[in-house]
Amino acid sequence: MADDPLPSLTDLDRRLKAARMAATGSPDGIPPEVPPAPSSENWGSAMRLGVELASGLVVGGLMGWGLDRWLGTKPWLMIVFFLLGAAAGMINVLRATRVQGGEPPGGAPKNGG
Amino acid sequence: MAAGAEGHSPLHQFEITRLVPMDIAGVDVSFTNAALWMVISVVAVSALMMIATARGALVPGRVQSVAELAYEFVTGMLRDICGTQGLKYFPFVFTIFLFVLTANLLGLLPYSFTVTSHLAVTATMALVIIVAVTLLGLAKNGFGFFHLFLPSGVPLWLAPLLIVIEVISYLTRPVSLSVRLFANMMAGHTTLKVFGGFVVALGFLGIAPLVFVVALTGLEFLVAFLQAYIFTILTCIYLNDALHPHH
Repeated sequence: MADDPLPSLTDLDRRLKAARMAATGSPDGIPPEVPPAPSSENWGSAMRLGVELASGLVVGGLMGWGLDRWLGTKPWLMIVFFLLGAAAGMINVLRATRVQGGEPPGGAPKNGG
Repeated sequence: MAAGAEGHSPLHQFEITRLVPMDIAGVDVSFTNAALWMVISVVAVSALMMIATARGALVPGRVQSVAELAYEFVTGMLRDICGTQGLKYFPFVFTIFLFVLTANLLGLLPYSFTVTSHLAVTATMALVIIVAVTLLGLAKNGFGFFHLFLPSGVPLWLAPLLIVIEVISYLTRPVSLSVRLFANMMAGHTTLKVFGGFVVALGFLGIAPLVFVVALTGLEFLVAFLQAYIFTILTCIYLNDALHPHH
């Protein structure tokens, strides 16, 4: 296949561009704002949630435990940080469900707190 | 995939064995079966991409279609989440996606070793991603990166509490990223092995668990894709946070 495209191909290209323009409103076929495809998104986010919640607890608990060991305030910081970790886990879950794997850059507010 | 002849435990498949024992300055750097399967993953991906791009046909063949599909899938994901600025980091994200996906899929071969079912592997990847993304965010935004920990419009008296929670939430990222992948792969493969053991143990009645194992194998293929997808999409989300920390 040489450098000059076949006439049938230029025609195809033209028709493709027209079809994409009609479908998405941009010549390269990339819609300016695409809502994420729902089906696999939902599956994905559903499987994220449990781990998000649990990891908040784990990280919070570990942080509190470490701070307790360091500062010698035996049970207190661990209790506090465990609760904070639970809050962080909740925020993670809220975000995971609300953001659904992506937002327009710099776009909609997504703070769950 | 069924239980071995010696009646292995379902967890035997996760055992790491040294293939080429090596020791450098007291550190065990043996070439293990995990390392072997990582190498196989990398070689498989590289071979796929080389074969796919060798001809560059206008009408793609099968291999080229696979490569193009993967490419467009990841590009689309990256563009949707991070915008066009994110495309600069495409090689990084694409590598992660292909490595995880290939490791997951290779793990489904009988007698293979699932690299991603080990926390050490997934945690290393997650830590690399988080550290890289954090450094990138700091380099790109300087102090503005810390807006991530204090969403705008928060009353000042709430700030100390919220910052602590946000920091914890940020620190959960590597944990959830690595644990999710490793737990899913490990749970799936263990279940397969357990039901595979039932097939042998039940004799003629083993037909029922056999059917179940077949269905489960299909599910594991879904999980292999899905977990690679989730791992990648979370990488994209974290990358987006680094590029645009202002909520």
